[in-house]
Amino acid sequence: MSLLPRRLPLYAAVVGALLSVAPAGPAAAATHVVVIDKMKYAPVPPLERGDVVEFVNRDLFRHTVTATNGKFNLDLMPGKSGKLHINSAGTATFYCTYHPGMRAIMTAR
Amino acid sequence: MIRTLLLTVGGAALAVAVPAEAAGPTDPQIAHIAYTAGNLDIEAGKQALKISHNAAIRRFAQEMVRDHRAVNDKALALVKKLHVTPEANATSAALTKAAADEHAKLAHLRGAAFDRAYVANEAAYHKTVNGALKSTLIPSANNAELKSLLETGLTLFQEHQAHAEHLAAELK
Repeated sequence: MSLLPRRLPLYAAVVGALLSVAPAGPAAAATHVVVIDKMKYAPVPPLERGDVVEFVNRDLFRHTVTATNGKFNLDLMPGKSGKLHINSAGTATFYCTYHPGMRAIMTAR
Repeated sequence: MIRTLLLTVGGAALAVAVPAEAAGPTDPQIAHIAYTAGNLDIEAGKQALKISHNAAIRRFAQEMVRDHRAVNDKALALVKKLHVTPEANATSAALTKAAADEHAKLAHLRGAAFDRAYVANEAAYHKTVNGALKSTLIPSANNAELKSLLETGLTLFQEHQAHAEHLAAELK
């Protein structure tokens, strides 16, 4: 299971291990915008394989979106955004390396 | 009757008198205290970057400089927008005096002794400022944007306090 980067040379490589599920038929990919502001990640909506999650840092501070298992990392200066492509099902927890109290979870099926 | 804002910085207790007729510090005073507190920590971070060779300490100090500068830039933009002139007050003066004393103390230290003293003070300093934010500054702020910025600052500074405490434990 993995979260793999696609067509995104500016963003950090993303290869996150998730829970294994049976292959599913292709679904229409959706892009979900998740805002980071006031020292918090907005909740990530339920995801499908093939979806894209775009993290937008609207906070005053530099933040990261870093997998707790170290498999993916986006380092976002204020005003910047980065994308993760969801290539597999499962759950990933992530946090900000600069502010480790900032934690969140995303789940794809 | 005088309300007293008690701050403890670097082990020294500072009693700060607030005018009796006021429910608490005014917005211009709060802006000055918050900006001063941030600026003092930026200076402490710069001192650490000059002296420390410990990678974790240097990352922490860079984080302090970057984050506090971001808050203070926002605070400056906000007071300009609100046409508020930050007002010097006894709390700001006490914070500045305590920080100057700590800076002088740290200037004599090198190596692990400096690192330990710096993070210990960072933990204590953020704890003090967070206490003041929670108990006095945020409840006293009248302007909604100022209150919101202080609340974001509190969340940030609590992270800094936790980070400093974690580093302090690692250095023991």
